Amino acid sequence: MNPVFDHKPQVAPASGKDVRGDEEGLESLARRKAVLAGAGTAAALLLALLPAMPAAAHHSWNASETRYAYYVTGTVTYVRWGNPHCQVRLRVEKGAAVPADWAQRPLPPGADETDGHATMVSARPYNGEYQELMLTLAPPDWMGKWGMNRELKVGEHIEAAGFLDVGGGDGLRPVMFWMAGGQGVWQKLTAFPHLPEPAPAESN
Amino acid sequence: MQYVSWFPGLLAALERSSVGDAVRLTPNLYPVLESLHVLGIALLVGSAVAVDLRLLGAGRSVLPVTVVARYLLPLSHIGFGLAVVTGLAMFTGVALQVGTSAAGPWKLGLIVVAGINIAVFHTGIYRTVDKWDIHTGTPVRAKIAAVVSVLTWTGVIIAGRFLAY
Repeated sequence: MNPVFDHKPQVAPASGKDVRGDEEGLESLARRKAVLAGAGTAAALLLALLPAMPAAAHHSWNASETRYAYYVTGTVTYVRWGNPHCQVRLRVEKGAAVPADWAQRPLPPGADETDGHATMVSARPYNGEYQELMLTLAPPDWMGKWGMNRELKVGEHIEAAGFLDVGGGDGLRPVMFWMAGGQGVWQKLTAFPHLPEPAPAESN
Repeated sequence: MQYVSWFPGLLAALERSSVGDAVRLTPNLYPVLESLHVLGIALLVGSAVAVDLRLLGAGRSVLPVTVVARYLLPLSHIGFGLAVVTGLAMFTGVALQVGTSAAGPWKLGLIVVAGINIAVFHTGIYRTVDKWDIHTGTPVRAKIAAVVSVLTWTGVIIAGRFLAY
C-alpha cells in the first residue's frame, strides 16, 4: 500500500479498503436514486390530488379556455387593486348581447392587432351559471402602460372581452375591457396558444 | 370555506386594511417580498435537504452528523423566519383569494407535518447521535425523518406555488 494513495482511494483500486469504498459509493448512489424516485412519485401524487387551480394571472393562458371568447358587461362589486395583479368581481348582465357597434369598435391602445381582432370576432354573450365573475386583470404597472392610471371602483359599469377559466370556475381573464366613458384598456401580454374561434353568427 | 360565513369577511377586511393596501400598492414592494420569500425558501429547504441527505448516508465518511446539523439547521431557521415574515406580508395583500384557495390547507398542513417530524426527530433518535455521528450508517428512524422532511418541504413548495396564482 502506497501511503500517498491512502487518501486518494479512487486511484488505488487494488487495495481492499478502496474496493469497499467503491461498494459504499454504489450503495449510496442506489439509495439516493431510490429516495429521489420516492420524492418524485410523492410530488406527482400531490400534484394530481390538488384540484385544478384557476387564475394563472400574469403568466400564460393555459388556465383559460382560449377557444371561445366571451363578452361580459355589468357592475363591479369587489375590487382588489395592486400587485401581484388586480382583481375585480363583476355582477354580469346575463346574456347581454354584443353591442351593435362591436365590429367598428377600435382596439384599445397597445393592443396586438391579430389577437385583439380575433378575440373580438370570437366574443359571444355570456350565458353561464354564475351571477358574478371574478376578473383577473393586469398589475398596476401594466395598467399604466396601457393608459389606465386610476383604480376601478365598486359600482362602476364596465364591459370586457376575455376567456373563462378551464374547469368551469367563476374566473374570467379579460383580453381587454372598457370603462363607462368608452376608454378601452388592453390586458394581454403573453401569446395565445391558438387563435380563438369566431363566434357563431346567430349568437350575436 | 364557504360554510364558515365570517371567514371570507375577515380575509376581505385584512386585505382592505392599510397594511394590505400598502403591500399591493407600494411600488415594487410585492416583487421584493416575493424575492425575499424565495431566498427564505432557498435557505430553509436547501439546508434541510442537505441535512436530510447526510441522514440518508451522503458524506458519512467525511462529515459528522452533528457538524452538519449545527451548521445548517440555524441557517434553515433563518430561512424559515424570512419565509414566514414575507409570506404573512404578502398574505395580507391578497388574503381573500389565498385564504379561500384549496391549496391553503395543503400548504399549512404540510408545514405542520414538517414541524412534527422535526420535533419527533430531535426529541427521539437524534439523542443517540453520538453512536452514529460519522463513519457508520444512520438508524432507520433518522432515515425516515429525512425522507419525510424532503417530501413535506417539497410538498409545501408545490402547494405554495399553486396558492400564489
